[in-house]
Parts: sequence; C-alpha cells; structure tokens
Amino acid sequence: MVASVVQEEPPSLDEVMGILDEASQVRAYSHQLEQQSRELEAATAELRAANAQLQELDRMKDDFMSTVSHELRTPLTSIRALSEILHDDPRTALAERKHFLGIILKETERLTRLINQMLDMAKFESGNAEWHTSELDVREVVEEAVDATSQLFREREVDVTISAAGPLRRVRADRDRLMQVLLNLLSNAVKVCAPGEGRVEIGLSEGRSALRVDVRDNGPGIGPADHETIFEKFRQVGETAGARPRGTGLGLAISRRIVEHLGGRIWVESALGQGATFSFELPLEAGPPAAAVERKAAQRAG
Amino acid sequence: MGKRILIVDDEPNIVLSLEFLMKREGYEVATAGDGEAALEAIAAQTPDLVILDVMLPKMNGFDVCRRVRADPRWRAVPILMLTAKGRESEVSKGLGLGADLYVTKPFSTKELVAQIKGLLAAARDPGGER
Repeated sequence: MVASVVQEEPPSLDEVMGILDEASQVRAYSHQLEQQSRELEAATAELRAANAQLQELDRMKDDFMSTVSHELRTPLTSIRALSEILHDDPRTALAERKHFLGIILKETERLTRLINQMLDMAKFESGNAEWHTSELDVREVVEEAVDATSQLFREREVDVTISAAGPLRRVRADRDRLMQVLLNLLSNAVKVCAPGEGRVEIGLSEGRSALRVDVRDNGPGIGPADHETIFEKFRQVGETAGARPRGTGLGLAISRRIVEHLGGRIWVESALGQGATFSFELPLEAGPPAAAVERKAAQRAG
Repeated sequence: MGKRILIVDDEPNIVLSLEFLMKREGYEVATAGDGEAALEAIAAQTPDLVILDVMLPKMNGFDVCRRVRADPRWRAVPILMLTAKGRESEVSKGLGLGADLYVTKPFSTKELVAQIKGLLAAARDPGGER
C-alpha cells in the first residue's frame, strides 16, 4: 500500500476493496473495543458496589461482635464481681447475701438466654434447625406465654389482656417456636412500656386463610423508617451513639425467621408517640384435603 | 480516708457491686447512670476518682472523659475507664482521651481495688509514678 502511494498509481479495485475491507474491520474492532470497555466499566462498577456491600457487611459483623461481646460481658461482670464479694467476705450480712445471690441467678439466666438466642440464630442460618409441627390452639399457646412472662409484667406494673374474635381454628405450627415468637413480642412490649402506666393488648383474630395475632403496646412507638430494619438481625431501634442496646438485636430477627418458616408473615404498625402493634399471621389449612396430604406425607416420612 | 469515688455505669447490678466494693474500702460513693448525670455529679462535687463506663445513655464515656479533661478544675481527677468494649482501638482511644487506666469487664475485684488505690495514691503524690 505504501509503495502504491509513492508511485502515485491509482490503486487497483482489489486494493481499494482491501482497504475498505480493512477499514470496516478496524471499525468493527473499534466498536468491539468500545463495547468491551463499556462492559468492563459496568463490571468495575458492579465490583465496586459489591465491595462496598461487603465492607458494609463486615462493618455490621464487627458491630455485631462488639455488641455481642458487650452483652455477654455485662452479666458476666455482675456475676463475677458479686461472687467474688461473697467469696471474699464470709461475714456479709444475710440479707445482702440473699440479694447478691438473687442477682447472680438472674444474670445467669440472662446470659443463658443470650447464648440460646445466638445458637438459635446460627441454627436458622445454617438450616440446621429442627421443626416439630402439630395442630395447635393458638389461644392456649398465647395464654401460656402470658403466664410465662407474668412476673415481668408484675415487676413493671404493666397490664396485659387477651381478646379473641370468636372461636378460632387450629393452626399447624411448631409449638416451641411459636412460643418463642410470643415470648419475644411480649417481653419487647413490656420493656418499652413506661412502668406503672403500661398496657399490652393481645388480639387474636381469624381471616379466610390465616390466623392473626396482634401485640399492641402503649410505649414510645417506632418511626416508619425503622419498621423494616428492626426485623433485621443486629439492628436495634434507638441505636444512638453510645446508648446501651437492650438486647442482642436477635429477638425479632429470630421471630421473623420462625414465622416465615411456618408460612406466615410478621410486621409492625406504629408511629412515634403512638405505641406499636406487632402482628403476625399463620396460614390456616384450606380444609381436609390439605390435612390428608400432610398426613400422607408424615406417614411416608415415618 | 474520706476519698470520694464517682461510679458511672448504666447497669444497676454493676453499680451495686462497685458501690459495695468501694464502700468496703472506706470510700465515699456517688453514682450516675448516664453521661450527662456524670458531668452534673462532677460539677456538684469534684470526686477524687471517677470509674467510668463507655457505653452510656445520653453521652458516652469517651465524651465524658474528653469534657472532664478539657476543664482545668477537673484535669487532674483520675479516670478509670471500665468497659465491656475490649477492642484495642477502643483501649487506645480511651487512654488517648486522658483516661488513666482502661479496665475491661468482667474485672477482678481485687485487682480493681488495687488499681484504684494506686491511682488515688499517685494523685495525692503528683511526683509519684502514674
């Protein structure tokens, strides 16, 4: 080609065709390159976003570890300090001994609860949780949950009521897990209520395909921005700088996993200053056919 | 004796055990359950030593420590930070802000008492080892 230009001879048709062909190939290459560079940019942006997400997850994990560490160490601190006091001072007055031992026992329970919750969460996350479903009278389970938390309600002078809209069908669920959800909602409700003025109302109702439980408190309420995040693990409402969180940030996350595993849903309705209503629904069986299928499945499994 | 210790912690059971320990050593005790109350208590009557938790409502222990150190009247008050946050970055943050000691929970009651005695002695004798 260079030779032909120097000689100033008109290029042959073949040569022209060759040049055109080359030019179009170059254009195609350049187009391809542009396309690839765009794809590369998109991939880089995706990677950057993924990286940011990982960093956020890492930060949340760090925060969680720090929270867990704090929550594990706090009861342990009281247990150790009071045990050492009792151990070193055999002459501690009897009333004081009783008082301190009472605290040690309570803190031990608190620590146990926390460890259990963490293990539960780990089981749910790894898919290793065991489920034992049976036909349940939800009202009965609710009454049992209220019974189990009655001391907490008494201590805090918070009233609790149960009301049911008519007779309710039974649901198919895991009794212990359902209990876990109820205990969590009840203890949350009693904790946010102002002592002496608190009121917690539990409502049971039945729709066409689901049974619904509402737990309403007259506490400070939850702003709409937090309605979803409180169900995420490691997240707590009122997470202001330096303030001590109330728990591990696992209770509601565990509750959501349980309810969703049972085929239902859980949510909160609330506004600041208006109290909060935590509700969950569990599916009701459509009728005998579904039950028969379940039984057959159970027989096969057995 | 007659030394006055301010205990700042939002965990009632920890306050109770610290109060018992300090009283057993013959110290006078004041308590505060959050950061703002701690500053008020210090302003009301300057303590000889502050046992300061980090995770506190209203104002955290780091900020309390910073405020105390920024005030010429309180600059020399020994501060023992007592916290369940044991990460190294937090320890150095506390010490960087002017805390005299950083002790993680759970603590040994004997060691804590010895550390407090040491800090009080050093404060009485500013030439002594800190």
